This record gives sequence, structure tokens and C-alpha cells, in this order.
Amino acid sequence: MSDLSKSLMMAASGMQAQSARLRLVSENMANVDTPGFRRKTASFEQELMAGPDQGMVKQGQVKLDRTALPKIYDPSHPMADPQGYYDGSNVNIVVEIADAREAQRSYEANLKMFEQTRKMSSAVLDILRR
Amino acid sequence: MFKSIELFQAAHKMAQHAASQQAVVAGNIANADTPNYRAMTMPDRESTAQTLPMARAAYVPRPSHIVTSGMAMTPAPVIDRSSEIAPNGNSVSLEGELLKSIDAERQHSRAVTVYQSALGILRTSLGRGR
Repeated sequence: MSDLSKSLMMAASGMQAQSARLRLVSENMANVDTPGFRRKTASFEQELMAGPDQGMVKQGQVKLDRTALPKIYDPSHPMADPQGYYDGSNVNIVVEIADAREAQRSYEANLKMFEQTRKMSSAVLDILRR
Repeated sequence: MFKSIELFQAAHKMAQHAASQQAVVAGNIANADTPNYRAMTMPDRESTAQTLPMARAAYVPRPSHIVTSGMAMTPAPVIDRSSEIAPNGNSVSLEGELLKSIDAERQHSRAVTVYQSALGILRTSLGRGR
């Protein structure tokens, strides 16, 4: 594979990983008020393929945040225990927004790389055009 | 045969180096959020950037020799030790990588321009003009 198409593929894998991360963030944000919901996290890892190391990125296994769920006092809640407490979700909306912003920035960087590589390969093709 | 073939060779090597640098940078940006990933870079930029003397040195009258030496010229990327490592073990700096990619793009377009004008010289010598 030529270097230019390799970099296009790597930029594409980066964008894919970042959008998968953004999906997890939006799942967490949507469930910020769901009782008993645990925040989902996933870390990135390098994609292992046959042959030489391609350096592509993919999202690793999704894990649940093990932080203790907060106890919320509301005796009228259907899931409240005899003391009037129920388990909330351990999603912190500020952390999620920061994560979403970071994912957006990284996505933009990958997109920039994609555009630039395309510009380079179209410059090569321009030699043939005349 | 043609004296200007040497020029084509120089332009080819320069474009090749720029393309591999771009691929390395694309890999770094794709892995900008991967834990324990170390930023890579193409080695020996100074000596390969000034390709003209190198191409001249590699120029020997035996055609088979030129082909093999041309293929063996592509160096493998090495770990970039200049950037500092984040707490998650990642050493990619997005700003630095974007600068490197712009550098690679400029180097590539310079090489393509040199190639194109050498092509124009050949065309003119055939009497077809530009």
C-alpha cells in the first residue's frame, strides 16, 4: 500500500474511533438521570493486523465505571428503598462535556489530515492530467 | 540517456519522503488519544530533504544498481523522543503533528513542481512545448 493511501486509511480509522467515543459520551449524557446507570468508558488501542504494524486505531472494549452510585433521597420514587433512598447514575455531565469536546477536536485533526493527504495525492494526479 | 533523469530521481525521493512523513503523522494523529502510544517520526530528515546531492551520489552508470539503491532508500519510522509524555503514556502533541504535516505537504508540492517542470523541459525538447 502506498504511503498516501495508508495515511488516508489511518485518518479514517482515527475519525471512526473518535465518533465511536462520541457515541458513548452521548449514551452517558442521555442516561444522566437513569437510576442505577453506570457510566460507560472505552479506551483506544492500536489495531493489530497481520503483517507489519499499520498503526491504525480502534476503540477497545466498553467498560462500566466502577465508581459507587450516588444515593438520592426521594421517598416518593418508585425505586426508593425503605429509608427513602434510590441509586442514581454515576455520570458526571461536566466530565462528559469535556470528553465530547476533546473527541471533537481530535476528529477535526484527523479530518484535517485527510484533507491534506487528499490534496497531496491530487497534486500527483495532476501530473498525469496534462 | 537523459541528463535530467537525475532531476526526476531527486523529485521522486523527495515526494516519497514527504509521503512517508505524512503517513507517520496521520498515524500519530489517529492515535492521539491511545494510552501508551509513543509518537513516531521519519528519521534523517536533513539528509533526505536535500535529495539532490544524494541522488547524484547514488547515480552510477549501471541501471540495475540505481533501481536497488532507490528501493533501499526508504527508512523506517523511529520513536520521536523530543516530545514529553502525558500521564496516560501518550507522547503525541497535536500542534506539533499538524505543523509536521504542513511541512510534509509543502515538501511534497515542491517535489511535484520540480517533477512537473522537468517534464516540461522534456516536452520542450521533443518540440511539443508546454
